[in-house]
Amino acid sequence: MKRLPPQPCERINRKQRLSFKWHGRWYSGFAGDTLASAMLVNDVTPVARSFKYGRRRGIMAAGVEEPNALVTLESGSHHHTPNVRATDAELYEEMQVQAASGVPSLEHDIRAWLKPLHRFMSAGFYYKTFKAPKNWWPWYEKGLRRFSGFSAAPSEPDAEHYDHQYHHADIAVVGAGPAGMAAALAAAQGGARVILLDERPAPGGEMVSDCATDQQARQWFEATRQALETQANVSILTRTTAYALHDYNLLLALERRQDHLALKARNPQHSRQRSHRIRARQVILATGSHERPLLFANNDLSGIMLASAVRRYLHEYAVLCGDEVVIAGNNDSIYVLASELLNAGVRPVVVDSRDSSLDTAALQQRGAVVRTNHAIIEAVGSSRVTAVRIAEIRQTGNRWDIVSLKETLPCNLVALSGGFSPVVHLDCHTGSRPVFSGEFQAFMPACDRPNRFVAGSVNAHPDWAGCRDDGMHAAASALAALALTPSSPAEKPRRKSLGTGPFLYLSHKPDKVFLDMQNDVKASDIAQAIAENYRSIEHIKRYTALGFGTDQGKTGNVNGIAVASAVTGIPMEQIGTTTFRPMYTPVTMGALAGEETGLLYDPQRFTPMQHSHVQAGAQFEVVGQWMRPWYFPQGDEDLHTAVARECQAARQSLAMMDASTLGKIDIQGPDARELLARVYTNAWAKLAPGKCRYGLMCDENGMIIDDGVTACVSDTHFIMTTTTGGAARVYAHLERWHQTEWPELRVCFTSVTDHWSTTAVVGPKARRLMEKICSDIDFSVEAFPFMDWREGTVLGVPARVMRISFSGELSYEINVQANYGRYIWDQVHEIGQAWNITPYGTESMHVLRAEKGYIIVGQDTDGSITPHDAGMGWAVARNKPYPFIGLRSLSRSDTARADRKQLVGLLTADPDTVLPEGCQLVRHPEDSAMLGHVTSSYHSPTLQRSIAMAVVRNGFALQGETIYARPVSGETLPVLIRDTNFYDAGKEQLDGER
Amino acid sequence: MANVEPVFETALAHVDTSAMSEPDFNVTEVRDFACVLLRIHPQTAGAGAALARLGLAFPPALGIHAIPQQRLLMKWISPDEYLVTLPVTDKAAFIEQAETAFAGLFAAVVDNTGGYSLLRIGGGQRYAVLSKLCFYDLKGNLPVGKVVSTALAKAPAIFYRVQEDELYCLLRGSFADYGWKILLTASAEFL
Amino acid sequence: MFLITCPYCGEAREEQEFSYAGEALIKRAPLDSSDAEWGDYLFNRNNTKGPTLEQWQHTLGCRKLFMVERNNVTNDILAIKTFESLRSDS
Repeated sequence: MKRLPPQPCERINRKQRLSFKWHGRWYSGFAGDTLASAMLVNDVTPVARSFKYGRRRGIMAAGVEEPNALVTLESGSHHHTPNVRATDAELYEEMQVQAASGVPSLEHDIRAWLKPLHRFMSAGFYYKTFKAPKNWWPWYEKGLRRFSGFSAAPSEPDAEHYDHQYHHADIAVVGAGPAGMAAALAAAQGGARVILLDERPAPGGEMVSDCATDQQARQWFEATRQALETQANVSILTRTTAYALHDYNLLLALERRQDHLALKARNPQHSRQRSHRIRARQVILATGSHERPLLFANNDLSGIMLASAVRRYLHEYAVLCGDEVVIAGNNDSIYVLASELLNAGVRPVVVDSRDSSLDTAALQQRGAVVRTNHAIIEAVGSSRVTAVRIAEIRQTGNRWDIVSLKETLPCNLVALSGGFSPVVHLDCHTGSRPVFSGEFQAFMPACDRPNRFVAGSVNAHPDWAGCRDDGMHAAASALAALALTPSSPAEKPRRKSLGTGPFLYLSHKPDKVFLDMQNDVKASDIAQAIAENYRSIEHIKRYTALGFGTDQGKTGNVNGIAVASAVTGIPMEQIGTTTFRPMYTPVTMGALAGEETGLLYDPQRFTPMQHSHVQAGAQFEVVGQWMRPWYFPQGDEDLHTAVARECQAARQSLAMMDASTLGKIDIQGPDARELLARVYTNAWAKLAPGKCRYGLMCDENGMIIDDGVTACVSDTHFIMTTTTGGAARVYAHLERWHQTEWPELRVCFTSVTDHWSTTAVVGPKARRLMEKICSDIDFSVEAFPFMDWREGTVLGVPARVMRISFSGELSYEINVQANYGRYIWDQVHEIGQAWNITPYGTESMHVLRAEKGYIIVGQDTDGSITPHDAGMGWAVARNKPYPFIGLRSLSRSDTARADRKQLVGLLTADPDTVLPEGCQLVRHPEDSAMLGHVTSSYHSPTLQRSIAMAVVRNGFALQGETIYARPVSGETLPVLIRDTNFYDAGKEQLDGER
Repeated sequence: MANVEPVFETALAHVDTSAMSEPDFNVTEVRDFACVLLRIHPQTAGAGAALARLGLAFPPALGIHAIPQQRLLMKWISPDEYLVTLPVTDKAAFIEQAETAFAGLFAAVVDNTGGYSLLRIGGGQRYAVLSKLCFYDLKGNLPVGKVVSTALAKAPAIFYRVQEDELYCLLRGSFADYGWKILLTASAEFL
Repeated sequence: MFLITCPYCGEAREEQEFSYAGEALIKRAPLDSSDAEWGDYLFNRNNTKGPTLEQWQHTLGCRKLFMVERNNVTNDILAIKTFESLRSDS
């Protein structure tokens, strides 16, 4: 391996030396090198140890199809990046690189020592060997895990961030090789908004190699590149891999914005990588093709590479991968490489499996040795290739035979070309299957989904000029589909032929013929799978692990299908391919999350009083998307102490709570009352303006789904409240039933959840406070009974005051326009100091209502609880004219059973023991059959002991009985069943201090 | 009773509004705006006449009917829902007039002022920033006079434009803080 | 992730703006249904492979529901109809 003198189209910048560290040693390369080209020039080998057998591996390819050279960058740090392909990692200054394989190390690998056992370690060996004895499995697993996978996962938080970007384009072009460049320019010139993507740092694709030797190519490339840069309606994204194509042309792509920069040179304000989400009206896939290696024994040795990769390293990086070269293949591209190596001063031996051609003669005239009708049957070497054995071969029908074993050719580089597989992945993501073409010896993209085209070598054009013409043709078709040109182009450009010969499988030492380098899958494994009756390609894949690796079988799958075809005699087109799924190349999780991490993962919704809560030192709880005050600790109070103080204040003097998060739906129309009757279980016919009613909402299956108080503003105007978490769901529920089932009802729904803020004033002194802050409402018990509401002015602000209670104490909820919410809260807090008013949060709210046995939908109900189960049969009005949602279900045989799970109260024998919520309940202490579970459980400061609510089978009939709680950890505890109203201080409690 | 003046606050009253105030990208919360929803369907008998009495007319789908002198915009949200934004001081009178005009019709007037925060977004990079958060094609498909209900990241959002060089974003009040934070994050690289 | 053209808003929107609202054209069973008939209405759905009739709500948009005929294998949307038009057709 050596660095050549400057090449005409090289990507490297010889003025900028970069250093990288590999296994304790520093090496150098140039800016513009990939890690792979720098490793090659430094003769770094091996780069990996194979998965099962620990075989030493080298770099095989130059692009994303590379199966071997997986490395970890910046191991153990905040920039730890696992499973990086050295072939597309751009070298940066002081890059720290570790191999991603080798147990215990790259130099010494245990698996290689197990060589004598390798013949027992074929496909399926893991589960055949380790399935017994069963109880040894945890021990087996621990051992096997050491050998599995590649890089370790990161252990430190990612120091960098990621973001997303949405795009809308008329035409998206994937791939900026000659086909993509031509298509993008033609499309843009035709008036379309174009976005052009390429996974490499600069446009050109495989054409860069052609530009080095073909003047016409170079001129066209330069002119087109310039034109694209200056064309206004083209957006070009390089270092951007389109990794998925979904329905309706949703193209997902990952842009590596800073991965090519030294760590110190990265801009922390910029994302490391960006996920692009592109909706394109038309998509042109110019994704190119991947070269296939040839099949022969030990074809996985270091120094055996793809011919096009050798070409790329030569032209783009000025790296000569070897000076004793054998080029073998079944198509005309081998002669191009041979010619270019001759130009570089190397005399390759060419092994062509086909007959002689004009190319053969031309090359021989330049002094190269060419063997036609020959193939490599075996490579020789231990840590790297030192020679290949070639043989004359003959094809009879479907079989290949060795005619005579000819020569052993010493070499340090073997360049293989077994044909080209179009990169069909994106075309297949929406369910299409590629179609095998005997003419091109390749699986061709079906391209049968609408608004999509393929162009270039993915469409079997092997030459840059053909790709260019095909790209222009695709653009014209896309423009026509968008009606930007009057008609479609006439003809598709004719394809130049590479004369690709058929797949060659000799079955010489098949247990050494590697198909999938990443998973050590050999030809013998395919034969074994078929012998064990795994005949479908999907089964063969899973049984052998063919195509399972991070490379998704880019260089191995088609060869694997060819072997399956040779073994079974079934033609390639019938065997077909396995399913192609996103992502085309791996995408880091951070890029999928973008900026939606941490506090931005989900919206945090705040009430208008939030600022005051923060200033008061409230601790917060997440309720759906809302941040609600959980408790308001004073000093160094813990939850328990704060809740005790808050509950005491609510029951004995004065407290306040922010109830703004509850859903509020404004319901208006002549049929509003009827609508309520249909969605709630209770009666609404007689609810007068100025009155409120608690409503219970069921689904059509009769199960409670929400509850809340609805206020009557007028005969045609109601305000419904929902639970905090149910607001959006109930809103959608009302719309759905109205629009699809009851369109004749004249009613409309408007969400006013955020418009109204709610300050609840709670406790025996509540009336005193209200009288102080509102002079135009009469708060006396007679004038303002429980479950009424009044319109008035509170502290100068128009308000609706509702006398409803979730605690059982005297309670007024002051509703004002949200813009005045914090003002009202702060003023109530200040004025309430006269009675030592105590703000309380959700924890105290939960305790207070539990002391009264009030349910919380979603906590005490779980979608399987009917109103009767919850002891709320009183809320069901059966004589409404229209059968309300859920009515019929209440009389279903299962719903009407007497022994359903029913809501009861529980008291533990030890008053200090608080049962865990969710705790299982059984009838007898030794039982395991579940009788029910605990739904709510607290320490009650009011009762100075624990209380719990639970749903228990036949609970109503078991009142007064003792059953048993069986927590996950801890002892079984006896609990007494009682009703749920733990704290009943009589009607006086509700009216407070008169 | 304490003699204090009511304090009117918008959702982002406590946010440092200078954080995004560059020529390249700027966001301000409009403080003086009220929001009233008119629930009325054009096919309701008498609807057109009722609107005419208010000096209004039904805009087409995704359209805006504007009365610039009153700084009033009537925005189509749904066939039977129109979001009217107007100065705070004009709200009470407008609601009263609308209720009167709608009397006897199947129609409703709903004050939703507290329900929204209104952001004005400007600057040369506004579309670059918004394209990181909104999957709607705001740059290519939101001309002056159009209103679109969609999402800003994970928050429901209504975008509209009445002028070339800026656009408006209505966020529900409880999502305003989240909207501000994600705009800050998305714009950091441009500021 | 497909695109749905809302018949009320009049333009194609991202699937994320919508919520799936169940199989379309299910008639509510009458109150005097037997348990079996009621259970069938409540729990049984056609679950066809291929073109299905669905309800979608434009939750982040105009909040209207409408019917979509979608091929659930290919995600091709074959037809979109408002409930008003379906009622006036029948």
